[in-house]
Amino acid sequence: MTEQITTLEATWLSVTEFTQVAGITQGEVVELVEVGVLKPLGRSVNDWSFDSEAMTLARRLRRIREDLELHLDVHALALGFRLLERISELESALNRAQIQQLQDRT
Amino acid sequence: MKFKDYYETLGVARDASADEIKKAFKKLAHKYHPDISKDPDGEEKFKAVNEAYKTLKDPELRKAYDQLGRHNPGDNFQPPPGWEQYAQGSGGMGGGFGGAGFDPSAFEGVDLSDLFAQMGRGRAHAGRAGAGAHAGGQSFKAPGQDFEVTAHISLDEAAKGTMIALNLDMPEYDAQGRLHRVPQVFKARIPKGATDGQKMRLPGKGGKGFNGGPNGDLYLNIALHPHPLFRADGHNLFLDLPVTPWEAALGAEIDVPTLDGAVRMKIPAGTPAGRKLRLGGRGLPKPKEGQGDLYVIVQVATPTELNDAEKALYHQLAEASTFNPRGHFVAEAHRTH
Repeated sequence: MTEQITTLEATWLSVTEFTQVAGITQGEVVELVEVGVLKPLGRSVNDWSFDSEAMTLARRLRRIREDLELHLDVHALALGFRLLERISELESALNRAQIQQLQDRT
Repeated sequence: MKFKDYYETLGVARDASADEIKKAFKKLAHKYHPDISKDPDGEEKFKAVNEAYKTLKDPELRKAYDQLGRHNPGDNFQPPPGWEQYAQGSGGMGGGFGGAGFDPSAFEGVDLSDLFAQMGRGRAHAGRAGAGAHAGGQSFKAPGQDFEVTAHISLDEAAKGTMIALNLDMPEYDAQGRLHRVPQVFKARIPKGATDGQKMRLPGKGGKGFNGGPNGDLYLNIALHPHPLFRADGHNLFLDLPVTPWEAALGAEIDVPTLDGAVRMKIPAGTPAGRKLRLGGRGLPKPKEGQGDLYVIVQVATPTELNDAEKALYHQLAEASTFNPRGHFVAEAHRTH
């Protein structure tokens, strides 16, 4: 049996993959891009490429929606994305500050 | 099989209405959901609450659960004879449990949550296909589960690239549609340029699907171990550089550590504490080309113990200096009075 070794490359999702991961419709994705909540690379819908940050937020929001049985319209989705993004920025800033504190102590 | 008291988990009476069960779940879910909760044990608690709710919210599953009787949580027990009719009636069990006569040992080592989840899937399928249209649960496909894992690597490994081997307990369906955890070693090469918090999706590398259902996806998170000197932010690195008061005032050339060894850096005269000096291209390499930058943050360190000569010199400096770092206090006091 040959051993399979995967090379891990940065993840980019097409619009179809993104809708699958996020569990929302393409129409909703388009609206979220239009209001500026999602910022894929590429000009037209078929060229869109979503980065792994967007993927992570989408997965998190999906988990919350499904676990709590929430039915969110596109405005609520937009708000969810924005708040989760803000939380993730704050968490990484806090994380860096904590590491700095650790380094200062040693 | 170990007993779990789903009613107790949700904090409802055994005769609670569907509405009461839903309300209790919502309340606890908002409290413990790991994406919302501050509780460090939120994830575990939410899992328990969710498992209880998934079973009790479904009238058929709730009936089957009630038929198991009451036991102390954690006690080993066996379903009463005849219980398998619920399993079979639900359509999800196929030949898995007691197809030919009841075999209590079939439940040995089975987790209650997996059992009910499986029954729930079977019922969902039976509902779609029309009851009895298919032979038991054998013909329905179930997608594999998504799986998420974090790989911890050092900053040096992120800079140079590395091989990782992760031990995964991958959720997989067996021939009966039962969920098992299968130990698996996942080896992967992380090319140079990985960053902290980076997430990757490996489509189809998650749990195996059942009966030809699609495999789940594997999500991999990269986490960098804290480095004793450097802090990473994306591909940029930050380093605190302690300097003496006279180095900051007079300027100096100082050896600064980088990931590829020390480099000599010029500190300009009159550098205030907190100033950020950039060493271009000395951060983490980027995956294709280019490097992040290293930001050196100047920190003025003060000696805590002075010998007599040093003390004398500081006194002399205090006499001679006109420097007032608190000038703005005076200005502010004038403004407000």
